[in-house]
Amino acid sequence: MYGDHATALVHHLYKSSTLPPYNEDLVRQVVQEINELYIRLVQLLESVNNDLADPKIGGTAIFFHRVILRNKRCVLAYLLDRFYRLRDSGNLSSVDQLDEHTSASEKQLLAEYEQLVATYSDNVQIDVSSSLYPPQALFLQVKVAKDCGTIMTENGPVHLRKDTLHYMKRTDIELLIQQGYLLPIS
Amino acid sequence: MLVTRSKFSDVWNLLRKHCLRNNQPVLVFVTSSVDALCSCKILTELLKCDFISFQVYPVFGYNHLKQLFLELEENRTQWEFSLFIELGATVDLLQLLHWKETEISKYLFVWDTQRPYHLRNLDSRNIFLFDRHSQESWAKQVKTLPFVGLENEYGLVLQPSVLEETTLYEDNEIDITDADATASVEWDNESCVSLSWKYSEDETSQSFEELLSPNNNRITQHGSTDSENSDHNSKRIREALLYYAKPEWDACSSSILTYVLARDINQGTISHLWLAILGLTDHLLDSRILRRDYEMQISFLRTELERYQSTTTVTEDLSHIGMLSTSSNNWDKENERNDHGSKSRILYSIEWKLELMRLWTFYDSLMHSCLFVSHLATWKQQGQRDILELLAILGIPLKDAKQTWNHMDVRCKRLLQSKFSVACRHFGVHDICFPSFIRIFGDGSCFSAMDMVLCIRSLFLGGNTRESMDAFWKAYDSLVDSIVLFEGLQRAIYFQRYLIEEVAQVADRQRILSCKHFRYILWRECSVQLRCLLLSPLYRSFSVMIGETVQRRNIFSSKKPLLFLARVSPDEWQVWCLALIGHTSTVSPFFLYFQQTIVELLPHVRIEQGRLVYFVENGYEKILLRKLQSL
Repeated sequence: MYGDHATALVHHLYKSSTLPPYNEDLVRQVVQEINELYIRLVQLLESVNNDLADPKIGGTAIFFHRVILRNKRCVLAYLLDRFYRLRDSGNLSSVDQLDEHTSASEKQLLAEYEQLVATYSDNVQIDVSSSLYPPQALFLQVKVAKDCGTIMTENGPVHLRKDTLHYMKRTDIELLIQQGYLLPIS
Repeated sequence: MLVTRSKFSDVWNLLRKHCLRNNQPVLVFVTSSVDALCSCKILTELLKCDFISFQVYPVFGYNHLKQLFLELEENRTQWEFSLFIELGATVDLLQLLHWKETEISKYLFVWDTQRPYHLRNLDSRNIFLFDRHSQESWAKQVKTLPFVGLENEYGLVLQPSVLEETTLYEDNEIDITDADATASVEWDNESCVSLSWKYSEDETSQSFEELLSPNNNRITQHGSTDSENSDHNSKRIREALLYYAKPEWDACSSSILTYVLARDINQGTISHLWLAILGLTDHLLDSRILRRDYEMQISFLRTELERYQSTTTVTEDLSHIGMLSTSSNNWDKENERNDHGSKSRILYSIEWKLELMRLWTFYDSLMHSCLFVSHLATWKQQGQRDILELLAILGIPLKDAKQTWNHMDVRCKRLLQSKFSVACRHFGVHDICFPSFIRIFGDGSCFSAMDMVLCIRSLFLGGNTRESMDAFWKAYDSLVDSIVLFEGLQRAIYFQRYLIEEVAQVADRQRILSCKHFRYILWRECSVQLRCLLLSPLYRSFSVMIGETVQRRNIFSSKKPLLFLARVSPDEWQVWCLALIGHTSTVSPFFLYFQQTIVELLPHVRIEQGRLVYFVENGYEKILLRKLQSL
């Protein structure tokens, strides 16, 4: 039935609280449906010479038009919501997300967005990508989600091995938290 | 060296002083058990109070520990102190890690309830064993310790040939009386109650150098060095053999010791107390503590509870087992997610030994309770009829018994409260009750310490190292995260059902084979679930349940140690012994001979958890069995 693919696309995103992998197949199917419906609409209008006086023809044309608009809205909503999730997660440069869950155009978008943010931050001399809220504590407890190797801290080198828990100064690990290598634990 | 009860705060304050001065992190190594997790949580909270950095490493065996230290060395991690939680007491840590005492300036703090201590640890300047004994009682024990130096790093005495020359039992062997046993495990309540904490930077009582002076709890050289006399040698070896023969546990959990430390330095909270309760319950469920020692600890914890909460009212006392709780929703997951603390209360309660009673139906908890399974064999038709008869005696309709606990009729709950213990005696179940605690959360839902321990434990199920690592962190998160704990609940129910099936198979199919001095069970093929179970810390619960079933159902007339052999991989067999504590106060010849047989097969044996579990190469398990059978 028309619009099923678009509905499935929206459901796919709605069901997951985190960012799911980019569903290229479904998006392609929806776009294909849009194109097919557009071609049929154009053919219909050409056949009646753009005269929609007949209610049946008019109704069909409006139906096709509405479905096209709905599919378009669903796809745009899908893409926009994915972008918001990526942006709000703070993991713009997260290796996992770039490789596994995003499409090529999303990767390009994220790279350009990050560049834009960096340029703006340089211009105004403020890091706008950091947290808006002041830190609650000097130290933070974090779990290492991905091997970070050895980092230099104020108190010497610290090796951040995967699946270990660390209690360290926030300033030493803030960037790694933003990049998704470390997960803060309350 | 041993850190006795009165020195806990002094030693800890020295650690704080050094760490704050040097700004180096404390390394924390912790094993997979509920008690270890609780102790880790308490100790890391204490470190956080002083903003001391730390790093927590889960450990899955001593080989894994060695690997971790190699990596730390390669990465040139700078540290001065490390904490070992539920590991390290029974092995020579310095030899295991290839350290020379004179060359290192690092200190290892060990919180481990396994016994006996490795003698080299008692003698070491760098290893601090936290123990519940007082100075006086430890001074008496030191005199009875055997000669140091006859054992390897795992506490295996390396003189097997001497066994042929010595008799395992001598005619004038004196059995330990109950009085002696009580004296040796007495909890030093005096120092708990009359403790006054005094600490300031200016008057820290001792430096490490003073602590390490000869008069401070290190075992001094004992036994003369004139080793030419072979009788003297044999005697020493025999003493060492008897000392190391049987792995045991101390009469106290490490979470209680860490709680006591927290209290000593005035950082104890009710959350720490709850963690101490969980740790102690973990020991009880695994039969690692005697009933009387457990009750002693419970009375101590009960006294402590009154410090944090107002005295419970009479009404609350009567409403133990939460039977009057009528909350329809067990959990408000969203609200409870980060709220294991402030809105909840802890109550002392006399509980029944019915696993997960509040979390599924009363009928299911009867059918799958270790106590009823071992007494009544509920997997059989007769056992099921007995359960129905029990319900009939209680006057509880089956339909009500099959309701979830929270939805059960309040009248039925009142009937249980008044009649259950008496009705159980009719079926030979005499020890249905035990003192414990329950926690009532903000939404009115009730969770007993036993159930919480079972839920956390079930999260430890995992096969390979990767799965074990994920399982460890999940279990760690469940201490504070209700949603993860709820997942543990689902697993606990599944695990309890699975446990009964396996026990039924062992008991029914007569898979327990008997020899002169021991009995054994052999699994030539393990299913995936059984393998996950045996490779996780839950193997002990499983073996305890089998042991208790064998004993209570009088399948055999005499009590003997039980040996388990399971082929957990194509190349290895997992081998471990079970001797339920308190059943024998002298060391059976079997344990001595078992230890020596392991020594002979050492090149083909992998030791991961001290002398609790051995991994024997495929093919050598037959040799092991043959040697033990020839005893």
